[in-house]
Amino acid sequence: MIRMLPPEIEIYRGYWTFATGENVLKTLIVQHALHLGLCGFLVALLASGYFMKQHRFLIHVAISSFAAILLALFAYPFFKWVSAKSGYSYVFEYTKYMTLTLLIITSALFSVRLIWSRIGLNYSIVTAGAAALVFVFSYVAMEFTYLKTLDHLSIQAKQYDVDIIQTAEDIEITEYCEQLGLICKTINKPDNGITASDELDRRLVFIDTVDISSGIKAEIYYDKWEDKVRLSHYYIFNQQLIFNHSFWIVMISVIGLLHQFLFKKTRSKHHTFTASNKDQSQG
Amino acid sequence: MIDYLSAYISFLGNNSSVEDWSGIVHYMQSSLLMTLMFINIFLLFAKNLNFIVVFVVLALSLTLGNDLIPSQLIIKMTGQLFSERFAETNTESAKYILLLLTMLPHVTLIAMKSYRSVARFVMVVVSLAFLFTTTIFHFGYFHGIQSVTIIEHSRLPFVVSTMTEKDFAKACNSLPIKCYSNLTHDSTDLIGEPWVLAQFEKQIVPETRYANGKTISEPMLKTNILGGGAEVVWVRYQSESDWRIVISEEILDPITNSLQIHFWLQTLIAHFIWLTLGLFVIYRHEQYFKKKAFKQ
Repeated sequence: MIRMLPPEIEIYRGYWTFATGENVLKTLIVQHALHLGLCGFLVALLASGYFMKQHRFLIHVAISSFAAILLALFAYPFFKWVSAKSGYSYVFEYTKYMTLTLLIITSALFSVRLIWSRIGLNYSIVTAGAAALVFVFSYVAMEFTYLKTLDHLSIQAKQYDVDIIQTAEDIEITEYCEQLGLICKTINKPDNGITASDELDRRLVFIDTVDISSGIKAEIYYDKWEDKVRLSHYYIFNQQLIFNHSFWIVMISVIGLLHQFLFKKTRSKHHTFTASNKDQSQG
Repeated sequence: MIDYLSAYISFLGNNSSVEDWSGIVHYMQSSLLMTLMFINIFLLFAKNLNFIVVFVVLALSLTLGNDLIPSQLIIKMTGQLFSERFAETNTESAKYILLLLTMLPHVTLIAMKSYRSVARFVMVVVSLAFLFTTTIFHFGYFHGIQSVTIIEHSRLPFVVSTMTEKDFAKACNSLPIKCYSNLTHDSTDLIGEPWVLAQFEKQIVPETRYANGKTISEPMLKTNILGGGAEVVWVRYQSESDWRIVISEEILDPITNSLQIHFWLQTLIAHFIWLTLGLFVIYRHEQYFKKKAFKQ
């Protein structure tokens, strides 16, 4: 037969193969380390704005980038260790709370300066604080859209797979469950099945108990943490976080640098918010 | 939280509600895009931004919405100028082509000192942000999530196509799928799916593979980008006069609905932030320059 599949399908399949492949767990840990590094950049930028008397934004960016790289390098082995010891879900939860804490502290410190002492505002503090606010908002919104909603919808769609097993008569349950990506356990009585106290249950989501033929029942589970599809959701979520947030960081850095480069001679020598406010107070 | 989520999930299953809401969100997003384009055009003739112009342009964009841009025509022309492949692309891309065209002259203008201004510089940054964020979200939703979910949920039509006659009939009656059996290649026009028919006409059907000794084609994947939601089609070829076709009709609807509405919503929020932030920066700079001029 002639193979004439549109190229898009090939791209889709390639993406799926990677996102559900064996190396995705390693990639996820790298992604978490990278994202923590990006948040570290904002913290370092805010700190440099608070404590450094340096007016050249390039110096602030260089120091913050160095701090971000260091943080990412230290975070990677730590996350790898947590993943090996307790599982990927713990890495996700740890990084979530670490990241959000860092970002909330950054935006709080920015807000304090903004409300109570506007004289001390400079480009580093403003951009780091504003970006941190955007990061917190986008993290929460993207977790809702990419993970929570998608997981529910995936499980909902899986229900149809369970319905097939229930509907069909001439089936080999093990073969069908494997083809449908489900974990099925045949039981004679419902109370003999996997219970909530079972060790396995921590990573399995119970979907349904179904009658597969007269007198025989099966319990159907959807693999929660180790399920390839769920990991692929994490992969896409992390990828989007990294793309979006690094885009923000690149933009604020480039804007700051270009601003100093392009408008330096048309503006006051060290144009910061400090300078403009001093002007106002003098006027 | 879970109750809200359940309510939201059931909303995503309702095609007409999602269509209505994503229509509204898309309209607002298009208005922002057009506002930016008109500001870019205005700045070609004026060095600084007049905020009355911004409000007029915004009101015009919100009133006229999508009608302002002949997207179909632009895509057709791009197809004729460059490649036929462009003519088949999403009409939404016409707006981004126009945005790029209105932004490019400003890149040249800000490179020259006498034409450089804060407004021009900021609007180039905002235009770049519009283009990049849309690209990132597009890849995330329509090449990331869609590829994973569409392939994952392609298992069901595959399993149905391999069932015995009796189970095949039962499954087709009880599940939200479309099934056809005893078809020949010539009788495929019985299928009321224009997209499936188009694939047959192009002969993009089968690289066959074998499952339990049965000949099954590779799946045909219809993406959400093509419109009308995503679908998976499996073809099982048993003999010249017995083809089976299974189409996952409504199974992927909630997922494709979520992709559609989340994409527009996320794009709207991102674009709104960038545009308002850009306008705020221009406004603050104008105030600063005025005060400075007043003092001098």
